[in-house]
Amino acid sequence: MDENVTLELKHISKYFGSVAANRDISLTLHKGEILALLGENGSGKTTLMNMISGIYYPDEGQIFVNGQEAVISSPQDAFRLKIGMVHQHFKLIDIFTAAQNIVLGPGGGRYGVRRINGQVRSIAEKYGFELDPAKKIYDMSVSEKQTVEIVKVLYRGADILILDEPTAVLTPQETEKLFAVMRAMKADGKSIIIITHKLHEVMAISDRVAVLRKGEYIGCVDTASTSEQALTEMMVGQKVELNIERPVTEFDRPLLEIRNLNIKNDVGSLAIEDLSFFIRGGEILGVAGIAGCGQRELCEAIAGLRKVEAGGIFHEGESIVGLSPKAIYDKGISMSFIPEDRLGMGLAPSMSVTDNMMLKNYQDTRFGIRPIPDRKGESAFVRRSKHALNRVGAFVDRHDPFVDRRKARAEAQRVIEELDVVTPSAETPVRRLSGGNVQKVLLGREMLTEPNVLITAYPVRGLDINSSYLIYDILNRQKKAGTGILFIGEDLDVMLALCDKIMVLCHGRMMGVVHADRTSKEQLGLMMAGALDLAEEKGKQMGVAKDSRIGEDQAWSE
Amino acid sequence: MERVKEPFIHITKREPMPWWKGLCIRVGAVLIALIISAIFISASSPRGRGFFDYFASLFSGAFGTERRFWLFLQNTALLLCVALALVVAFKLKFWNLGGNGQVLMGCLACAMCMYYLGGKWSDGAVGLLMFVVSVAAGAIWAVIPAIFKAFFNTNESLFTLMMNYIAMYLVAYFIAVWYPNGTGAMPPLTDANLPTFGSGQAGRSLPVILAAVIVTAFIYCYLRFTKHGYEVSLVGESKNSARYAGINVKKVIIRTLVLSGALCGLVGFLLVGSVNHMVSTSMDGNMGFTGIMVAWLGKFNPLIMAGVSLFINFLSRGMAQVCTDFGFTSEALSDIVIGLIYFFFIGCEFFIVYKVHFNFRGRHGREAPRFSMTAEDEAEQPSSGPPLSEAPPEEGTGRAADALSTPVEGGTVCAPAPIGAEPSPAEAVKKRRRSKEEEN
Repeated sequence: MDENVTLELKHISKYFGSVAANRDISLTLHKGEILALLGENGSGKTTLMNMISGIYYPDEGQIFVNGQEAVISSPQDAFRLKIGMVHQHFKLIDIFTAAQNIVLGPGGGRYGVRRINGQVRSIAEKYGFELDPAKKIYDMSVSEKQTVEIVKVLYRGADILILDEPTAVLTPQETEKLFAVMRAMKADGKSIIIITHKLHEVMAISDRVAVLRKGEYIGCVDTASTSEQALTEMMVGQKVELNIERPVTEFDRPLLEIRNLNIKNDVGSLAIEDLSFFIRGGEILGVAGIAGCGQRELCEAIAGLRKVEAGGIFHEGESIVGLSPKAIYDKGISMSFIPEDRLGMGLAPSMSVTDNMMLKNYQDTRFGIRPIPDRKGESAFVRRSKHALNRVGAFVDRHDPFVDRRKARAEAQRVIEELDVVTPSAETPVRRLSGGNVQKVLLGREMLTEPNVLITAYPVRGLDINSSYLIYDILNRQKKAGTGILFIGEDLDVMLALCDKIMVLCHGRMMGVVHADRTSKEQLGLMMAGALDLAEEKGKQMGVAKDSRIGEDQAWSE
Repeated sequence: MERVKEPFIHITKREPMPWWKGLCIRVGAVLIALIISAIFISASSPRGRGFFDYFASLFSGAFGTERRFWLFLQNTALLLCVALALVVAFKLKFWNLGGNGQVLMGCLACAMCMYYLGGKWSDGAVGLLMFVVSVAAGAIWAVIPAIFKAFFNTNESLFTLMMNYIAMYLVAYFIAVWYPNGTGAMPPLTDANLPTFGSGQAGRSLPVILAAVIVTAFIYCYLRFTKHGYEVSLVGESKNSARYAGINVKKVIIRTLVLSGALCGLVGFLLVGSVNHMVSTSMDGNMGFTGIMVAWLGKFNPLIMAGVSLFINFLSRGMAQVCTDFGFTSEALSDIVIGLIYFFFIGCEFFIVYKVHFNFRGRHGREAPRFSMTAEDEAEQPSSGPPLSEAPPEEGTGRAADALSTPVEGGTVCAPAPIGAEPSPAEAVKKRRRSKEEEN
């Protein structure tokens, strides 16, 4: 056995029912190296790491730690073997300080605030973390919380660190800091596995890259001798064009205008503060910001799902504040919303594709009762009774108690064919479909209604590269058709390529709107972190269209 | 390095199996449960009845005479109605545990009409009023928790459960007011009984059965083909998606619970107006809880639920007959056996969804870690403690444990047996040991 190998997996497999999450995976991790584990969502990266950290137990295969076979059947076992994992979702106690969270867990002994603060501080200094041990978790930003998680693992003496998508929640600047810390840990002889699907980060930080695809191990390459294009091909299994198109369109007058909007979040503090912006027909407006900066609340408010505290939302010059979701939908504003839990809003996971098609229009069915037409030369009495009868008929007509599954089935079939949805049938529950296909069903349904404003929140989250590009393509098609699109995204590279303009939010405040072809990732990063405020520099007028459709009296009566 | 024990039992999820295979497993589980209970019952019968007599009694209890047959169908119909009422709420993920109370309120309202108006108004008019009032009473009893759920998000399970007690004591109160003789019983009322189809049990049961058929068809269509049904499943599935679709979630919760309660009220109306002509605090027959089981085992599908309620009623009526024929004076024994059969019936669901792997040798040819509950261990245990026969002479239980231990080996064919039955003899031993120690 090579002295230098610290962790070795041999022929590991894990099945969930008939699905192989991991099949026959063999992998080695050397001492003092950073190994990037690359793969699309659903390729089994997290499952594999969970087996190393004792959350799952492999169905087949062996794990060797420092040359000796190990059976890791619980996180305690992993901890004994000096393996620590930082999960994507933090597991911290909000009302404790950083140091309290870090020392929490196995191991007894005396507890002294000063002593543990000192210990934590020395670890932080050793690797260059910026961390105040006495700070409470609820006062911390996402990147600080992540730091606590990493220090916690180090405090427990881990030699092998697994980081599950650590950069997903960070700004570009914070990512750089994390990478510096990782390099310091590497210099100290720690071995690190980092899970990610962002290629440029892989190129920047890792020594070697292991690629998984659909649960299978594709190969391991030295980062120095590969390229982003080559890695993508390994990941996807075919040649992929990495360019996103940005078709040039004629911008229309503003379709949706937001003025001085204030929205509260679930706990009652301001999620969106004094926000003004507008979307024109035929443009894609990107919204950038760290997760939880009010994007979700903004979407919900526009769709009529959240109360607007102050300010106005105007669709073609008409206020839609206070209207029901149904009324807003009927105006032609359509929202496809993929919140954190993918199927939580917009789709009903256990229902079939067909049933999900009629989510918004199931009430439109009618008996088909036609009014009796007027005829010439009728007496007033006959005419009046006819009208009365017609009113009754129209009432009954509106109250058809049955849903029209035949129409929904036809719509489902159309979406399945036009967007290449992979599903056994239109009667399959959507939760059985893969992420990309779920998203296609949702977007397809929205497209069918031909909206003129489309709000998409994280439309490609969790999708593989091919599906993502298909979604960009669909959005561009809509844009060419003159739809105004609000694109809430997380990958700045994608937004820079796809959007016409990008609005940056920081803690619910707008930091400015920039043209995508005249800005840089660094500038956006600074704005996301709140360090650069273009809105402040240019004064209050930002976000108000010159050719606004809102009448003066209307705008200020709100 | 430290040696870590390998897990002995490893559970993985199965691929979905074809429906006929699942059906075979379920039928098999029930058959095995019946055989085990037959051995158990025939071994402990004071009258010395045999293994095959058990099955004869079981079937004769449900189908033996024309009267029994119609009663069997009638009880099934009532249970099915309650279960359907619950299913409507369950589809909404509103856990209505108040079926008993809602049925009782229907009963009480119906009995009130009969008591106060019977003989004064024409039977037809009272009958109509009975129907309206019973259904309304049931609906009100369900809609109170629904309103609290919709507006204040209170816990509906606790709320509906507590409403059961209020209903029960209201019934007790009115009986005491009407018949203050202290027995708490009420004689059947002769006025304003619902019409029957001729004399005999068939004629008396038919209206109830007919009502159940109509309700089943109605609920099936309601849940499957209507906008309301669509809204119910959507709200139950995801409240956020429902709001997104423009549905008024509060309205749907309240409307659906009105329907759920109204159906329970209808059962009360049938129970008092057609079946018993009087009311008692136990008139609900605990159908509000048995109905929950029917709903879940029937996978919320009204047609499968009809089958499940047939099976459950077959068991309870058959087992009552078994108790009589085999000379058991206590109801408890039949409850134990019914519980055993339910255990198998419900337990086999686990094995339909999951696969269990036993790791006997260790994965890589290492020696297996000793599993504490192997057969040898069990054999050793009693010898160190007091033998079974010296246990305190509790009537029945000693033999019951003997009878239970017999089918364990055979039971390994059907999966639930090892988990459920294996620990019980060992546990019985432990318990006795403990009680011995306490005596000393």
